[in-house]
Amino acid sequence: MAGDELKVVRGFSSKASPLPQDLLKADTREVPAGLLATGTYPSADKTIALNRYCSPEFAQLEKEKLWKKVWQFACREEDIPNVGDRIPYTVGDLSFMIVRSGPSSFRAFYNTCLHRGTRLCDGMSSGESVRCPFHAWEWNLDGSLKNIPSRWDFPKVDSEKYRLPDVKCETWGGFIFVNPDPDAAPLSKALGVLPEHFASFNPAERFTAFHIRKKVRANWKITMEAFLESYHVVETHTESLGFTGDASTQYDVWDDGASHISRLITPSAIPSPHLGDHASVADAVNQAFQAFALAMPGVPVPQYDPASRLNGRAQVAEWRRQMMGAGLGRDFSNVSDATMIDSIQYYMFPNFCPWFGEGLPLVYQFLPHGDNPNESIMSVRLTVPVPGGGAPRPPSAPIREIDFDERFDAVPEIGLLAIIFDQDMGNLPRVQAGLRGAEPGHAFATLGRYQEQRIRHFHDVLDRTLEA
Amino acid sequence: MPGSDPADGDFVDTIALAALEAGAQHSVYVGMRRVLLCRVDTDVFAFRDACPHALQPLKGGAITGTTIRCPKHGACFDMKTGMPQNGITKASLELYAVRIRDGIVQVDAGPDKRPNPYQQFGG
Repeated sequence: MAGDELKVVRGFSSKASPLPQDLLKADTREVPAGLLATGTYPSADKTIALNRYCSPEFAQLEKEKLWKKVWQFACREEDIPNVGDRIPYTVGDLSFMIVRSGPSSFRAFYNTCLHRGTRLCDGMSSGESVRCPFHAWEWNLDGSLKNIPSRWDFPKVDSEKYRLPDVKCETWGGFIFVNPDPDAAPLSKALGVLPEHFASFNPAERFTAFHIRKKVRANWKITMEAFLESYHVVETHTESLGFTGDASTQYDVWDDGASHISRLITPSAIPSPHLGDHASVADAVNQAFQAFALAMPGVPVPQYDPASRLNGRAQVAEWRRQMMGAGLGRDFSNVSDATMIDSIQYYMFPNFCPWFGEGLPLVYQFLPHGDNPNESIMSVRLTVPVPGGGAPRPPSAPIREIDFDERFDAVPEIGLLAIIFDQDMGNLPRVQAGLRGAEPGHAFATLGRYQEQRIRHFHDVLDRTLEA
Repeated sequence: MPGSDPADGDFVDTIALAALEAGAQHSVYVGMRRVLLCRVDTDVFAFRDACPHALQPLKGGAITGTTIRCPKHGACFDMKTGMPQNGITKASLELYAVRIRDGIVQVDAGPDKRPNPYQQFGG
């Protein structure tokens, strides 16, 4: 294994496009310790069998051994701002109802009526109790049975035994997690390095500015894996090469057996190493200004200033500090350049990707769709810092549903991201279709040693979880 | 800048016509849209720089007459009508109106509907 590990090339740089750890050394602010941390994971160089992406039996195994057994991100606290608010979290054909049961307490219940099985919550709703729309069986927010119409007709129903069954529910950083396994260890064990690495970012003090749920004709793992590496940028997002360190992206994995975390750092405002040693840094900076300006309509697009005492990345970061500071009434003056502009994505097993920093402050969640292994749902949120100066906390954006054949382009408010997601979405059904027709002797995926290590790590953990 | 006359549409200045030689292509941003300007003889065509097949950039595509060929997967389109010219996609180019004012190429890519997530709180 050790000799094997030596062969791994940890990213590809150019004179114009250094590796992230070298860029961090030139940061104009103190870099958060988490960004300086690196994690390695001694994974075997194995292939991934393709039938796990399309087999109904494998999907059923995942339901029993994965989705019923692990901590998983369900929603954000701001999605259910008032006591009594509730929202469903549906993963495959399992569904849970997340309820704000008190000013700062949350509970999660099986989303199924104990009378005849009706789904209790099928969208954002609210009330002092949970009442089934079919016959009005009713529970209090703590799960205790409140009322059964014609109670005389159910003499054998013991109120204590007809409490709404709950599942474990805990929070971190404004994120609400559930775990249906009553014997599960606390959430903190599964979070691993996340709280420490996100300390400076304070995800609790953010709100959901947009929230999209996209149906995809691909297995949830295929959809997710497309977002765990920057290896695809060179072909799928060619127009981003001018300002994106795709091949120089840094990948890290932290796995202590109880937590399974990985990360990528894709630097911005530098040219792709694919463009060579003489690629234009000025062009990279100007393209980065343009890309960020697309999310700020009406704001003039700055130009790279070769006479500035700041390097190009620092110029973009400084402009972002000023624009975001003025817009949100918050002080970003101590926030590092990397935090302001780079694309830094964390992953927590099995399906949760909270991004770090203001460069691309997204949250991804990948879910199986019903019991069809060939379909999934990708949830994308953009989070923004809560405005300062005592301004009220903005409401969470309503969920925008995008159907299988609709494009992200239908959501103009996400700017440049729309075409990027649509480019990714173009690949996914083709992957799903292709892998189902693979030649039997070659029905496996072959992963890059370094750039696709997060996918390999995911499958290692998935194997361990399903074998448990 | 957008014209002051409402009947004037949403024409936006891009580049000087002199900077777009015959046969040249130039990609510009108009609002959130990346727009490809192509000059064929004295005509200037403008359309979204995203092939409707797989949303890849059309910039750099070979031009024959008024037909452009997507450099990624080979879809061909008539830049005058936007219509697809081979079977790679049935979708058309998203064409934009072009006019020349005072030597500047102006493009109307429609109204800009984006909110600004960082500027709605009046900090």
